[in-house]
Amino acid sequence: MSDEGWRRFHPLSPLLRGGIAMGAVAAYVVSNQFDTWFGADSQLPAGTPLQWIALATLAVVAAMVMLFWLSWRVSRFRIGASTLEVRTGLLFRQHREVRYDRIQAVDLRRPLLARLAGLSEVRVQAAGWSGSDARLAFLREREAHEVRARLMDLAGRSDERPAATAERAPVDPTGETAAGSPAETPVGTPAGGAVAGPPPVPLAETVVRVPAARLVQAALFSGRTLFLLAAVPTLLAGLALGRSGLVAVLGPAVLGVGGNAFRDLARQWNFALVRDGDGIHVRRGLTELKSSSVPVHRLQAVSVRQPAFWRLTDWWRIEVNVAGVGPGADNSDSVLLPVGTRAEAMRVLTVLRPGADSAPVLAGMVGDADAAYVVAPARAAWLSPLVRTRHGYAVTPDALLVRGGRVRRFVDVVPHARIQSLRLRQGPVQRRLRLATVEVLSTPGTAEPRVRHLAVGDASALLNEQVLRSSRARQPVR
Amino acid sequence: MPDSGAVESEQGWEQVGLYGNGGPKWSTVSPRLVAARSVVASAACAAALAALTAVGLALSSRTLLWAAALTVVVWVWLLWLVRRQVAAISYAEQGEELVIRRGRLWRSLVSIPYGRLQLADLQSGPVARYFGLARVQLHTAAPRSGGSIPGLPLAEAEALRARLTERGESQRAGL
Repeated sequence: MSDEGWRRFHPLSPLLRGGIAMGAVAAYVVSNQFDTWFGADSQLPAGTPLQWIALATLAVVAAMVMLFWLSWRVSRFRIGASTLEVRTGLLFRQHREVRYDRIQAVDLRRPLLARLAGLSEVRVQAAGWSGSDARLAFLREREAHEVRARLMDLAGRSDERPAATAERAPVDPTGETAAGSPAETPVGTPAGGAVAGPPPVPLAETVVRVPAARLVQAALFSGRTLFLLAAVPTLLAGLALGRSGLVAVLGPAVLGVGGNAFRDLARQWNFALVRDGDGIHVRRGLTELKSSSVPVHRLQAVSVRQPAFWRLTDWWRIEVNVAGVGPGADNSDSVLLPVGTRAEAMRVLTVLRPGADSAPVLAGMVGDADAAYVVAPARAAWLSPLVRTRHGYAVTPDALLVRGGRVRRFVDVVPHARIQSLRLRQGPVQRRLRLATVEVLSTPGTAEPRVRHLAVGDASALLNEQVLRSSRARQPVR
Repeated sequence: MPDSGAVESEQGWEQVGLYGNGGPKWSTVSPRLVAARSVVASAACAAALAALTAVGLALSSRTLLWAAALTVVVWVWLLWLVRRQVAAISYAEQGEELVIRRGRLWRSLVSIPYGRLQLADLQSGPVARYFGLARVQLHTAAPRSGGSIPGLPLAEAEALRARLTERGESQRAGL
């Protein structure tokens, strides 16, 4: 094996990765057996010298250290020409290679113990299937930052167009786009420059910080709260009256729902969206500090939504679809704003789509039966009497906007270049009413944009034009 | 806002719609797919009919015999439906996209850019193989966004798959 460019992790890594658990088990066993070995009722064969026990302990410790050392020796990573390679494993060897153009996000994680040791883990999320993350654990803080910056840089550069401007270029030459498309403030990207990415922002700037009080309040404004309000007193009554059946059913449910609520709170605790020289980062976490980078140009879709109860406070939530991060286990990574005011939501959107006009998105959030969106025609009231004027779409130079929902309002923003495929659907009733639904297919995630019950003419016009817009916005890989 | 004249065609895209044969050249699938699907439907119906009749006669149960009669009706209906469904499947290869239309009662039209294809599979079950047919299954980065064309003659399916893969390679777009 050529040793070129291979780098090792921090020597403490094996200990932090798995050793802690082993050590804990050993300590537990020893402390449990302490009395039996050394106490008054020692069950050891009489005359076993203490030295032997000490020696045995020492041997185990030595073996563990040896294992750790070996595991450290074989683990390495390399930032190669077109791929990141990671080798790990003593018994079960693993060689993982991630192509830069498939990198979706690069996170920095600091679990509690690593935090104490001043170490960080760099986790690289690749497009494809779940479990394809490459983990660089652990590196010194400074090195981790450097590696992440390097990877982000390589990820951003390998297949993207030189300057992000092209994506924002007006696509619709007739200017028939939604209100105010000419708000094309070029964000200072040197046109044609080989250097990708936004101009260096010298200082880290906090875009949004979510106060803990609001997180808690937002968590209270939810269906979960209603459930807990009903279930907890019932449960307590059940306990008091000794109805074991009731307790058996409600107990786990309450624990589960309550646990979920707390877990979500802990995940979004200290939430801050920060922008600095090398991109946008999310920092959050109660026990485990997490800092994940958001490769803005790789976002597949942005979803702005408002759960029913948040209408009272005009709060919004912003989540994104990122390829490779399904709506699976921990999708809290895709949250760019757990709960924020309307102004904060607009600020996040501005950061995500620099230079794009935010008026159409605002119209998507709160608008109703307005000119900014093409909405379902009056005859669609047969199928959707209440939400009809909310079902709609708008086109901006950079993205297709799809809105809907009356009680739970949402607007999904899909960049033209990111649309996977387009679909028209028509059921028998829609056929009678000359309506059709347009689905805009994005990678799995919160945003599942579809415009329901458009007039057939509008629907097929949308599809036919969107095909061309997307085609023009897509960047072929050379 | 939707104005069909606003965006000029520049990559060999012809307007498509849920109805009619206008626009691009629509290809249909092999009529043998009717036979293949009829065989499958008939096998199921025949089995159900035989079972219902046998048990119905043995128990001299009127309900079961009615159910058997109903099975015959369903059978006939299925044979008619299969014919219509197969006739409704069509696809068109455009400059940068594959367009697939399916369904009569529930119509759908999907347009998949070649550049978005992750891979194109060829699938053929035992019945389809007997009739010399195969299905081309398309996968993109989004599980729901793919599509499939059933009932292509083997050689044609193979050629289509090769064409799609080749175009996918040459027009591949970043995620």
